[in-house]
Amino acid sequence: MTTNYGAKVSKAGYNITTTDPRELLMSSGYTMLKQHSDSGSTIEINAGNQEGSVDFNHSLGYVPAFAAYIYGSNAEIQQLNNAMRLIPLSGGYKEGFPWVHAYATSSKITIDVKLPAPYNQTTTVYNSTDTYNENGMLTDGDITQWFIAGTGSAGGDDGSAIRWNNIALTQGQTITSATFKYTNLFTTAGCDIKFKVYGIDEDDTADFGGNPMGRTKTTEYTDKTQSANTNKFNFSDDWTDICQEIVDRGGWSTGNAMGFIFNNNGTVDNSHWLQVDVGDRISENMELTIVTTGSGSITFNVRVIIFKDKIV
Amino acid sequence: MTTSHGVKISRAGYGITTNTVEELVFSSGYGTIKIVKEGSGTLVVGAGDTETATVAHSQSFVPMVMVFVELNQGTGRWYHGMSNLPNGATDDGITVSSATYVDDTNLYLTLISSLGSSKTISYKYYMFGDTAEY
Repeated sequence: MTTNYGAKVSKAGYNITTTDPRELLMSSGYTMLKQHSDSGSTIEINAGNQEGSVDFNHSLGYVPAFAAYIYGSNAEIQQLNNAMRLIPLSGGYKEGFPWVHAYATSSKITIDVKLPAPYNQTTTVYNSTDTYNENGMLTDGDITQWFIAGTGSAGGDDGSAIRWNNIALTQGQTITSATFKYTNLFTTAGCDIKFKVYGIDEDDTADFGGNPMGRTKTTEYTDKTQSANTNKFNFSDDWTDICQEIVDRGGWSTGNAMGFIFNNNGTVDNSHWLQVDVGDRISENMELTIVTTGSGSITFNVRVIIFKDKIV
Repeated sequence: MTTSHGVKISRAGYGITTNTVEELVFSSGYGTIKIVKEGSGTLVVGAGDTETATVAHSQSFVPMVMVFVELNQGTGRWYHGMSNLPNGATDDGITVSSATYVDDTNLYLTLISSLGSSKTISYKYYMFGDTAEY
């Protein structure tokens, strides 16, 4: 004998004998997701940070099904709020949107948020045409390559200087990082180029209409050794402490100019770190990137509903 | 005469006369999410290739679905959904694109890999007895 028993509740207006699950409120023929817990929390990402996460422990001993929601309270994360979809909301496809991932393990549900960039952090790239080189290479009476640092054939030190103006930093402002980059360089063969980089210890160093090499230098400096490389290469250096010392000067103010000096530091005779070309191309090949960090934080509200139902 | 009839089951500690839906386990006044089908499987996608797993749902409508995926087999980390999976941010630099969609006949799980080698993921799906169409 075939048995057919159970419980069914049909929606108003539909017959209980229906076989269409859409017309049933519930049926013992279909299981339902059974709620284990429903909890909320927040993910706070402070200025300068890019990621945050939160865990929801469940102690079920297996990987459970779950639903997760995330939303925020200010305009920046309203985009996410508007979506109001089960996460993950966005991957690499939506430039500028946070990445949100949610996954379950046998012990917890984890929600990760990654912002497209560190929160409340400003990156400014400065370019300059104001450079000074003590010496260069003469070819048919014209200088074709500038010496950045090194030692001449007669043993004299060769150095150089760079200056940027309109630096958008306030007096005493904390600098997260200041990175100098020089591209398309090469050296003479055989010997390391040894040099130090100083800041010019002035509030608003003047342009390089004259020789700036004798200007007062900062206490902070970087001590560098560039191995010989006759092929083109890129050079970068961390100038955070140097820039901070200049900005910390009592007379510094927003929009002032900032200068740096490359001093030879024991390179053997007739060895140089060379710029590829002269003129405006010098400025095209160097930049100073200053990163500053503001204050505050961004908060995401998350809610996770964990079901008793097992994924695995 | 106003009639009021139906079936209600309240949560432990709450009166059956409550009007707060969160205090009810079941009420014939509200529909429930009925699981009409569930299952699991693996999806293998070759290097730089696209692969789709197709699962028939056998319903006369386009059902709502819920999908979880284990991006790296054996890690025990099951991500919710298979649209917009983490793109290299987590799970050992997985770089995949993915999509989940349903039509009148099937559930489709598509994996697009930019990896240099074959990739296998595990998936688990639930299909519900209600339509995804509005």
